[in-house]
Amino acid sequence: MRRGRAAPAPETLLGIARVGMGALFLTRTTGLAGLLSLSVFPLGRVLLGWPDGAGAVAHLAPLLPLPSWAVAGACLARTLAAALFTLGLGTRPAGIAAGLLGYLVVAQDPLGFNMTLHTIYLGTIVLACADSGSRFALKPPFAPARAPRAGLGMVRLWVASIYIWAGIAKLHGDWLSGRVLGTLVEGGIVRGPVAAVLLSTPAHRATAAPLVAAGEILLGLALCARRTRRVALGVAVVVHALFQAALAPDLFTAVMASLLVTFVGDIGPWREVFGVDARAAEVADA
Amino acid sequence: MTPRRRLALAALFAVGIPAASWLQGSGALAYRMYARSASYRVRVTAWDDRGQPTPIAPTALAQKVRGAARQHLAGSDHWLYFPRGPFLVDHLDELARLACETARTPARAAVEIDLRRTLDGPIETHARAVACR
Repeated sequence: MRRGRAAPAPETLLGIARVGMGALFLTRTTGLAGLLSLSVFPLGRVLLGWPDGAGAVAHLAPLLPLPSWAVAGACLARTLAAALFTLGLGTRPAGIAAGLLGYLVVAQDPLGFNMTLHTIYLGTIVLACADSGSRFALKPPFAPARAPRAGLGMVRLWVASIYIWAGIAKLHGDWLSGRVLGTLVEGGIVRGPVAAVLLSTPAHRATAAPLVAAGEILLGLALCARRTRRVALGVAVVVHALFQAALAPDLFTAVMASLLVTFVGDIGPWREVFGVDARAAEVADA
Repeated sequence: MTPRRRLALAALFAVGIPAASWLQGSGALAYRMYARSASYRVRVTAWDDRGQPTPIAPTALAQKVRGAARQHLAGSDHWLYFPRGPFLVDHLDELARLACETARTPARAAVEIDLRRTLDGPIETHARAVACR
């Protein structure tokens, strides 16, 4: 099996990703988001989704209506679970609970749901299922991680799929013609020097749009391939830096950075990672 | 958890959830950020007892709602390029009732939402009128 000399252990990478994701979860769902001047977080609130008092009429009907006291309880429980996940106390149940409670709370205000929240909530669940509590945890599990490479592989496949799905979503005429990019530029959503240089004219946008769609799909595939993983990781970092400069998309750049950490180092062929080649997997994990 | 179970979970997270969301129609869990070209526009009108219509700015409605709906109503008298129009259409009744509370002594109120699923797509208009008393 080919492995980089200084490749960190899977448990280490998963532990770093867990701490990063947990910190971002807590930041995005508490008043800490207000300190970062995130416009997506309501001013004057301590917890995201906390039931409103008087003054406003109502949410438009929630997907899963709950009484106010239950929503408040879910907000508190979500925050507690996210804190335990971040600290590494009961990592798996805490992470799964935090993610599910996050979805439950946001279901009270479906228009407040966005891809950053989805990636944080699902990412927390994915990491919780991936032996991410074996390192940098206050209370690691009694037994050592049973198949940390498989856990890391699971996280990698999920992260790579985000790029592939994002690229697939752009395979339609409005996007490929560059006109959707035009609406984003005109609406001030895409802005800054990157937009001014690369997206200033319809011709530029018509060139950039198909490249973005194809690039996202290829990036996802390249992250999965052993030969191209390292280059793809570098490209992903540059792409997110460009997105951050042009879009400043909520906390999405930071969320993806915490997940891209898991692509450092080679973990071997996929057949071994997932035990399809069981004997080789045992040898490698040993 | 065994490696094969992790593989099954990877398939669920990476393929199953996004694909199901795509097939369900919303794509809300399929990472379609910034890719969609749908847009919508909202018109709100209230009538007094004499039948005189008064237009209400959707931004005034936005002041009355909680949560993220505010952002999606404010300024929606102009086309907004967000894929949230169908959600607002699903709540036309609530919006029309909200219009009753926004206008001064209205007899009835109506909300119309224009949807365009693509940039050049036809405009679909969804409307609901309610009696306010």
